[in-house]
Amino acid sequence: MPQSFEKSDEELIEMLCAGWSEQEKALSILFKGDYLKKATIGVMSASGASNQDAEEAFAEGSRIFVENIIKKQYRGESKPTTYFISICINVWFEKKRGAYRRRLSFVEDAMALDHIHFEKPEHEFDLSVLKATLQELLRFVKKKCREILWLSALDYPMRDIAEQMGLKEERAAIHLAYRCREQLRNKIGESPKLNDFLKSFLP
Amino acid sequence: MSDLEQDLQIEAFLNGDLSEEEQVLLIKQMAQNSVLAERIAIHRIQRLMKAQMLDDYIEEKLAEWQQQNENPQTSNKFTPKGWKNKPFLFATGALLFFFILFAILKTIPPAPPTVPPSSPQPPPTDVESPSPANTPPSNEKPIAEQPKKSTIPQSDAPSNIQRLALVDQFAIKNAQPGGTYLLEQRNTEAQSLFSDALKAQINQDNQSAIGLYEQLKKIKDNTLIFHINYNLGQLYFAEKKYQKAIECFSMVSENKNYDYQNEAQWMLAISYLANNQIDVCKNTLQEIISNSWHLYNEEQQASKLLFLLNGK
Repeated sequence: MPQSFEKSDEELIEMLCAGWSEQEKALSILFKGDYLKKATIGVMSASGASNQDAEEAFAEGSRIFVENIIKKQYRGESKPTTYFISICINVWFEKKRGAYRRRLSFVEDAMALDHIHFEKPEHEFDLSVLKATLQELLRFVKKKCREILWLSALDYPMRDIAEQMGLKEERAAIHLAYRCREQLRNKIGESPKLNDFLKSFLP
Repeated sequence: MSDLEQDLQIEAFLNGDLSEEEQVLLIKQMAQNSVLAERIAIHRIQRLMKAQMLDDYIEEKLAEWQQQNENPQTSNKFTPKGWKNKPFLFATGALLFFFILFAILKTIPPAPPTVPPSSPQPPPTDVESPSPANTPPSNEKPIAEQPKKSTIPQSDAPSNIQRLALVDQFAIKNAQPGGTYLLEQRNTEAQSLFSDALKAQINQDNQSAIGLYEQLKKIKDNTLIFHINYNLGQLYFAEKKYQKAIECFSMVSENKNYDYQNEAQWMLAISYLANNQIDVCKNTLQEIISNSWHLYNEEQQASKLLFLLNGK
């Protein structure tokens, strides 16, 4: 059997279940070249999917796969390729049944988890406006603040964040996170539009 | 409870880690305290920003991987972006060329007077548009021994106009007062006075605010002393009473755990500059530069100011 990836399945599983830098390398290896795509389309075609269905399922499945890796939902029970293809097949089946709904993005997930927000029905957000505003705020955020945001988005504890950022102690990272929020608040205070955005999060 | 402790409590609340009792209490406080409510809103926005970063990452990476598959000849090895970047290569080449030229010129004996001396790029004179100083200026003498005509004044100290322009350029604008989370708290005499002082400061009634803060300083065992001095420093600076501002910021910047220690230290440097104490200002800037996670190192503000001060 020709070598499909640069690493063995065992190595890839280990990397995908490790910390973020290893996960990222593994994802890069998996998506390098067209082996994964060809394998997925091959399996799906053998199951009766049209080429177009398989292409669409591959695109959507890729997104879900990466999301699941970041959310640490993949625990290495199956080979990465098997896991990936099963996600794509699920997408295709659900589409065929007409039951397919676009899965929640991280932002939608975060909003769904925010119970307090959903207690107030007047706080309905236009998702595209919300995302554009968040992207605008992210552009403002400075390098170190972006770094701390990214690492905490990946669920690293403050102690590890401090270590990765070369800070002396956990408290320094907490302090930096605090400062970043202060900067954010000042930025929001400067713009009436962003101020209105903030108000929509008030109780 | 300090700002930091309150932030940790808010995070625990949003993560659902608080007990039911604590949750009820916080929601009650939120309804009564607009500052607290705003803090929680900021936390919630920040959580969404993190989620947006992950969404953006996935979109970006998938597009990148897809593109790589469409261009199989492209190497998939991780290489720094700069190496694929033609302008970057050109700039690096040019820099290398000038560096070699500079090194050669340095080894040549003093040039005859008819030949114009070659020297490194002079420091910028335009205070409003300083050139980005990514590296701190070298302490080496720039061919000082060579007879050199320069239109740039080489005196150590900036002129008064330059100095004040730098103060104006680098001072923190619309700084947040310290301890705003205590705005509605009036459980003790000190808290009531502090709340009044804060309100006066926010309403830009500087004289009343200074009077109230000075009154507060006389109360013994005052737990608010760092907030008071930080806020007084801001007010004295705004009133151009720089010596007093220095005293206040100096006291605050010694407390490494204070929420606004970085801001206080930065404003201490600016107050020294405003007070024409250039050497002390430079020392304070050096201290800031040596602290790699200092807020004012993030965009190299401290290095830029030091560069401008050394260059003038």
